[in-house]
Amino acid sequence: MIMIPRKYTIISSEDVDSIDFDQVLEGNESHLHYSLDGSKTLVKYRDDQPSFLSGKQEYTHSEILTILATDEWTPSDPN
Amino acid sequence: MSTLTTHTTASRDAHSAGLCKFNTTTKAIEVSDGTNWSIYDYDSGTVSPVTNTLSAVFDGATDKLDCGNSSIFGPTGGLTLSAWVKQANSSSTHTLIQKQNVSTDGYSLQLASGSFHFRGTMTSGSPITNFGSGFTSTTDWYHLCVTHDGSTTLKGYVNGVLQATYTTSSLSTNNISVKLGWHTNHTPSYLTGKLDECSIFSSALDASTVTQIYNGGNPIDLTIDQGNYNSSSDLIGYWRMGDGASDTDSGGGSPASGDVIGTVVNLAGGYGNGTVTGGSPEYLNDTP
Repeated sequence: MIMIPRKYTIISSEDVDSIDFDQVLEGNESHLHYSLDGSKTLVKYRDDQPSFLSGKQEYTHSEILTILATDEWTPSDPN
Repeated sequence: MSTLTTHTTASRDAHSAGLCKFNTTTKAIEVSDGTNWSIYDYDSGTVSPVTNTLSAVFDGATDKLDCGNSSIFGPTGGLTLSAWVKQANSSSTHTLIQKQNVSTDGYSLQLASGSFHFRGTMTSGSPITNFGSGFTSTTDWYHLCVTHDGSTTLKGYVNGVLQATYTTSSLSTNNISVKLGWHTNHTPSYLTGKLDECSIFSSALDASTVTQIYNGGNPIDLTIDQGNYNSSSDLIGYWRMGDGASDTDSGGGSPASGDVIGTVVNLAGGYGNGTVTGGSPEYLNDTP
C-alpha cells in the first residue's frame, strides 16, 4: 500500500470547537498538538482540505516539520 | 562433538560443552558451549518467523503512542530495549522507545541522524551513549537493541551484531510513562518513519539471544522460547503494531493497513497497552 501524503492546517486554539473530527485524522480534542504558548494547534487529513478549514493555509508534511521545529512549537534541547 | 540426538523445543537439555542436539520442532542443530546455544538451521540459520503484516507509521510531527507508567517498566535488575525501525529520513532524531523525565534518568532508544543512541544512564558524563553511526538507510529495516545489566554494563546491537560496550552507572527509575515513537524532552525527536515489534525485557539479554531475536531480519514470536531465545519469561513489554490478536484501529475494529491506530496491546501482560495520545499514527503493511 502506498501512503497518501498527509496535509496539515494550523488553526487558532479558539477555533478548536469548530473541528469536525470526522474529517481529520486526529480522533478527538485530546490528540491535538499545541504550540508552546497554547495559542495554535494543527489538524491532519488525507485528500482535500476539509470544508471547515476552507480558506486557511495548508501545509505539506515537510513544511509542517519545519514549522514544528521552530521555537514557537518545540522547546530548545537541553543537550 | 557428541553423537547427534533429538529433542523438541520444549525439552532441550541443560548446557554441557559440546552437547549437540537436533531440534525436531525447528529443524535446527543446536550446539552448547557450556553457557550458550549456537543454532544451525537447516536452511538459513533462523527459526520460523512470526506472522507479521503490519507496522506503525509515525509522521514525525504529532503522532504519539503512550503505554502508561507501570512500575514494571522500571526494572532494576537489568533491562533490554528492542525495536525495528525504518526511518523516513536520516537527518533527524527518531525516538523509538522512551521512558524519561530528564535526559539522565530512565531510558530511551533513538536513531539520530544515522547514529544509534541510548539516552539515560550516564557514560563519561554524557546523557547520550553513541553506539555507532552510518545507519542511514531509508529503505531497509534496522533492528536496534540495547542491554543494561542493572549495574555497570551497557551494550548496543544493530541487526544482531554488537556495536559497542560501555561502562555506566546503574539505571535510575522514574514514574514517567513508556512512549513509543516520540520523546517528551528533546527536539525534534518524534519518529518520522515506521516502527514494529517493540519490546522491553527485565534482564540484559546475551549476544546470542539478541542475534536470535534479529533472526536474519525476520522477527520471531517473543512470547515463545525457541532456538537460542529463552527469555520469554523476562518479557515485560511487547507491542506488535497491529499484529497482536487484540490490537484495534481507532474505531475499535481489527487493524488494517491505512487505519489510524486505536490500541496496541502489550502482549507481555495485562498492563501497558499503547494508546494514541497525540496525532494519528497509522497501521501500514510494510514490515521487517
